[in-house]
Amino acid sequence: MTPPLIGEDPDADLLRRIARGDAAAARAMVGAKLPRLLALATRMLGDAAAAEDIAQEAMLRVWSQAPRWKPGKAKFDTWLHRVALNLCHDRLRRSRREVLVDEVPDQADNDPLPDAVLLTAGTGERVAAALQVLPLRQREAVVLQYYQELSNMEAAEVMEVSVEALESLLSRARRRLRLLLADDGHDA
Amino acid sequence: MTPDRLAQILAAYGAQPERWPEDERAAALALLEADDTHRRNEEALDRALDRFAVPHPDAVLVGRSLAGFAASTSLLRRWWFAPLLAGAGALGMATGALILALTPMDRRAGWGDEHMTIFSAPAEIEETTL
Repeated sequence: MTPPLIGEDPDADLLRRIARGDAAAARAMVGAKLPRLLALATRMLGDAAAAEDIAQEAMLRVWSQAPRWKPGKAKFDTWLHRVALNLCHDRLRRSRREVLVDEVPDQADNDPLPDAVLLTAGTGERVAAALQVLPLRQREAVVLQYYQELSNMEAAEVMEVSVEALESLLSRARRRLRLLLADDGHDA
Repeated sequence: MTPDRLAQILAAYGAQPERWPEDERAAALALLEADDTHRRNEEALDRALDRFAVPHPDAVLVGRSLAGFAASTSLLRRWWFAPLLAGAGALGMATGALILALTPMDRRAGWGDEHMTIFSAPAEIEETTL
């Protein structure tokens, strides 16, 4: 595998090889991206089966995009996160569980906890349920910046907002999560 | 770096400095040495968030994803095959046009009769079915 040139997209070499039909490059791409896509979709949707569908669909987009990928525009990983988020939006829109705007005002932080949070037992499950309670844009901000470990500028680019707007979404999300998770003696 | 800005950074990005904006990290850490109460509060939430782990993709999902790659590399979808096919088609058409242009008109007269079999078939079928 050719090491990336300074300033070159780290995925550029894999994409070139995939465009030539290189199966080893495809396996390397799956190894690198599929776990991150699955993690993103699982945390966005709170539904393991739906998340697998999203991750698989996003990988299909990788295969079709590779021959057309133009280095020098957005980073490939940023593009792929946006694709995965859009697929999550479509899924949520179809299931009519969400609205796509951050409509919930800050004072809603003091609302009673939803049953989904109160009834789940394990800590991981409680966090998963608490994430699903967040307004969609707040959830996206936490998933991209905290869990996917994108930089603030990358997360803002994926969400197509300013860094200041991202920080505001993150602050509100974390404040609400702290309230949701502190209820039963949890250390949040 | 002001205490207010430090509080904003902690509230947005959590307690781990590697998640903070790179250009503000050093100043924020310096200020934290004086008072890290905010940071301790955010550490607790970070620990809670870390408990939501997602399993790695299983072999079935990996296989399904790679099957998509295999399908995308079938001959007709390879990037080099479409231009090759188009080139071969253009070459065939050009050759046909060249032969036509170089053949004298009187030698073309019989072509229709010699090659009528294909084109007359529908008429024959029509006749037999009527």
